[in-house]
This record gives sequence, C-alpha cells and structure tokens, in this order.
Amino acid sequence: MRMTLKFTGKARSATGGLWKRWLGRFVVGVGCAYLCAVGFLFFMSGSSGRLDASLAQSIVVGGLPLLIVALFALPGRGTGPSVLAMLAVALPHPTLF
Amino acid sequence: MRDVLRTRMGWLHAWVGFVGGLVLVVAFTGGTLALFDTEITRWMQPELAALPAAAMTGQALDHAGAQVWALREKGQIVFLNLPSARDPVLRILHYDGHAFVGPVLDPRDGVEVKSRATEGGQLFFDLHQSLYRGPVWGNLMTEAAGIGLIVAVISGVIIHWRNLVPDLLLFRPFAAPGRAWLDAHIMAGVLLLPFVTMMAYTGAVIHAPRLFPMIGAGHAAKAASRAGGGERRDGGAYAPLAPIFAQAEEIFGRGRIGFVMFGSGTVSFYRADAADFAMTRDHADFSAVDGKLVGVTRVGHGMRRLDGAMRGLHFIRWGTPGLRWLYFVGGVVGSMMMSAGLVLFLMKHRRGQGGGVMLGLAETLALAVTLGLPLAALGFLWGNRLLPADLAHRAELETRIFFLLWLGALVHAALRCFRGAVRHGWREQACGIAVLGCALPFLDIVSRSGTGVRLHWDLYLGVDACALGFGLLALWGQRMMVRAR
Repeated sequence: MRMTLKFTGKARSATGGLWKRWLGRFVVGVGCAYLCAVGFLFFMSGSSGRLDASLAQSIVVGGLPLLIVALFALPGRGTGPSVLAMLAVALPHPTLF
Repeated sequence: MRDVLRTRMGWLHAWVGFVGGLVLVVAFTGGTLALFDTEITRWMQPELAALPAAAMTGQALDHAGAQVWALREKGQIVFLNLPSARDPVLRILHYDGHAFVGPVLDPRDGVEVKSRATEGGQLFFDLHQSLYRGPVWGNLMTEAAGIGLIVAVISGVIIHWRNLVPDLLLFRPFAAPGRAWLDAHIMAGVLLLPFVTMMAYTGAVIHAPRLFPMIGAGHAAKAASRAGGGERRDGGAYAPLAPIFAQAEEIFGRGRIGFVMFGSGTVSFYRADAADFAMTRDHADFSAVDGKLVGVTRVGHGMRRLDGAMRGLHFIRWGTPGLRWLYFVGGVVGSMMMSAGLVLFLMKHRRGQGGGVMLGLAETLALAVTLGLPLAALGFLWGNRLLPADLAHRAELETRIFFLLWLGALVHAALRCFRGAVRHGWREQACGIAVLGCALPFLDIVSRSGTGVRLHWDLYLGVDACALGFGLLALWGQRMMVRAR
C-alpha cells in the first residue's frame, strides 16, 4: 500500500484505515504484553519458581516495553494468528495459580 | 508510506511519545525540580535564613521527642526528621496526603522556629510521582507513562539506528524551524539516551506494584506498616531520645541517622537515605520506656538490595551536590527533548491536516505542559513570598495559586490555539516565564531583607540563579519566535 504526501480522498481513507489497524494492533499488543507479564509474575511467585519479588518486577518492567514493541513490529496484519498465539500463551498463566 | 518496520516504529514513537509525552513532560519537569526539593522548601521558608548554623544538641533532641510523644498521644501520626547537611534543622513531620509538612525546631534547643507553612519543594515531588492525583491513580498514570517512555525510546532507537553516531554531532539551530526542532530532539535524545532510559526504568520498577497490584504492596506499604498509628499510651514517662540516638549512631555510624519513627512502645531510628547508595530503610528499634535495644533490621546483600538500589539510582539522595546538579541538567535537557518531540508531532500534523478540534486540543495541551507548567512553578514561588507569612491555611493557598496559574495557562493556550494564534500563545507564555523568572531574584532580596541577605553561593542564590536562567532562556526563545515569523 502506498500513500503520497498530498492527501487525496482515497489516500486519506487509506491512511485512516492504516492508522486504525495500527491502533488496534497496539492495543492488542499492550494487552497481550500485560497478560504475559502477569503470567510471568504469577509463575515466578509460585512454589516452583521462587524468584525475589524485586528481581521479578525488574525483569517484568524491562520486558514489558520490549514485548510491546516486538508485538507491534511483528509482520502481518495486527489481528492475525501471531497475536492470538501470544494470547494463548499468556492467558493460562493467571489461571494456573 | 509502506507498512514496513521503520514506518511502524515511526507511528509507535510519534503516538506513544505524544500521548505519553504530555504526562512525561510534567513528570520529568516535576522530578527535575524535586531533585532540590529540600532546598526549595528552605527557600520558601526564608525565616530559617536567620538561624545560625549549629549542630543538634541532646537537649534539642529530647525536647523534640517530648513534643512528638505529646502529639502522638493526641492521636496524630508524626515523626521526627533529624538535621542533615541539606536541611540543618529538626522537623516534626506528618503526611498531609501530598507532602510531609510540620513545624521546624531549632537544632540547638528544640524550640519551634516561627516559619511560614508551605508544601515547598515536595509539591514538585508529588507532581513527579503521582501528578498530584494520589498514590493510586496518579502513580498508575506515571507508571504507564514511564513504560510508554521506554517504548518510545526503543522505537526511537530503531528508527535512528543507522544514524545514531552522526545524530550526536548534527545540530542546525538556524535551519528551518522543523529541521532545528528535529535536530534538537534527536541530539538531546541520543545524548541522554542512557539517563532517560535509566530514569524511566528505575521509576517504573519503583512503582511496579501499582501496575501489578497482585504481586505485593512493596516498599512504601512496608514502611507505612512499620510506622504504626498514633496510638495512645496511658501513663508513664518516655525515655529521653539523646542516649538512644547515641546507641543508634553506634550501630549505623555517626551522622547516618535520618529520621525517628515512634510506634506503640518503641522508637525506631532509621538510617538516612543519604547514608548509602541503596535506600533500604535499615533501622534500629528501641523500647520507648527504658531505651533498650529491641532489634536491628538491616536489608541483606545481593538481590535483597535490588529494590533499594533502584531507589538509590532514581532519587540520588546519596549523591554529592555536583552529581545532583548533573541529574538536574539531565532532567532539564530531557524535558526540553520531550517538549521538542511534542512540537515536532504538532508541526507534522498541522502540515498534514491544517486545523481541526483535535489538533487544537493537542496544541493546547502541549503548550500548557511545556510552558504553562514552568510558569505555574515560578508563580508558586512568587505566591510563597507575596502571601503573608502568618496567613491561615497558607500552604493550601500556595498550592491553589500554583494550580490556578496552571489552569490559567491552559485556558490561555486554548483561547490562542483554537483561534489559530498558536505562535502568539507560545510567545505570551514565554514572556510570562521571562518576567516571573528574571524578577524572582529581586523579589527574593526584597522579601528576605531583615533575615540577613548575603551574596555568596547558598541555596537562595542557587534558586534565584536558576529562575533567572530560565527567565533569560524564555526571553531568548520568544525573541527567536518573533524573528522566525
């Protein structure tokens, strides 16, 4: 998809479409990243993990923005299988404990 | 525009940077000023300038202790802040929901020194950590903005990855306005990349429990639970504090005790934040009745000190004045870099879209946080000196002046931006900063006469010089805007 700097009607609607798609991708990405972070924290606070709370927080806060950027950078359309796969990985974590 | 990685990162950087930036400019500016919160508080209590420098005596400590116990028996939750190099007086402090405030005591005899009530520099600390919106929603907003800043930094690095080194050297202040703003934004961003990332990361880690409430309440709640309430204790005298203080100094070292908490039947001497790189709240508990040592709590080594190390890096209370000034410069340049980012975003969208309500709103908010906040901060200092010292509720009035001025700046920005006179709006607010900043030293000299104005480097001169510097910078900025027309 190409758009010129001069916004014709068609190009403007294409920009709007792309903007909405990226906004959707961003929102879904943030949600997935947050769920992954929560899952990681629950996993680490469980009996099998036992990671120091401060260390776990530090890892999560470092990883969360990286994950948001990585999910946003994933190729393909935002609501594709990659995001669903991330959700599938993240969702079971809170329910485990 | 092709849907490629760089374009996506551009979108992410622009939108997360702009929306988060509106909060981050406030948080960064507030944090920069909060680096000198103690000094600003002292500037705002000019009566203390007349107090001769003196070491704390045992008599003063005992007297202060008796006053704290009396207040606690009335049900007030207070603690005693001990003199330090930055603040050489005793203070009986309580938390008013936004700041630790309370009477000042003479370190020689513990008698109250008459000084004006003010939230002082802690207003900026609260603005920095919670936007003055309390520890739940306010902290959550700054936490989210902190994560947003890291996202903006990562996406920014990906965009400029190939040109990171050339961008360090390229600054064309007299080029076309868009290019000059972009050069300034990129150069400051690249130069301050480690500092901004470190501050965003450590700040986000400190308030991580707000974002993940399911993982524990963290440091603040632990300290609060130790503090206990203002319980009554019927009958019986309390042991004098001076001998207990001597015992505490034997444990933590001379001059390393920061404050004293009073519990039900115990007195806890906490190690000063400035005593070590890691802010760990080590403390020694003593019986309040006979002064015997009950226990010592020290945070161990290794991972247990991680939380304290994050706080130490972020708050820099252990740092020398030079290091604190370095942080201050970093904070000022960081705020300017973020403000330049906001301006770039607006310039780009003004070119693409022309006018519009959303653009007008964005321009209003950007102007109100970029110039409106410093204007209100200077007005806060002016209000402190112009309001009568013995006015009732003067601390709240000062704070109200700050927020009213900020609201005024927002309304002024809205009037200018929605009428298509954005440049006028920027110029006028810059002029306001120039007037308030350049005239502040004169106000200080006039309103501090009688307390012994001396022309040597002290905190008064430091605050005045900064205000003058920002005033001159604003004057230069508004002249540049006139020339660029």
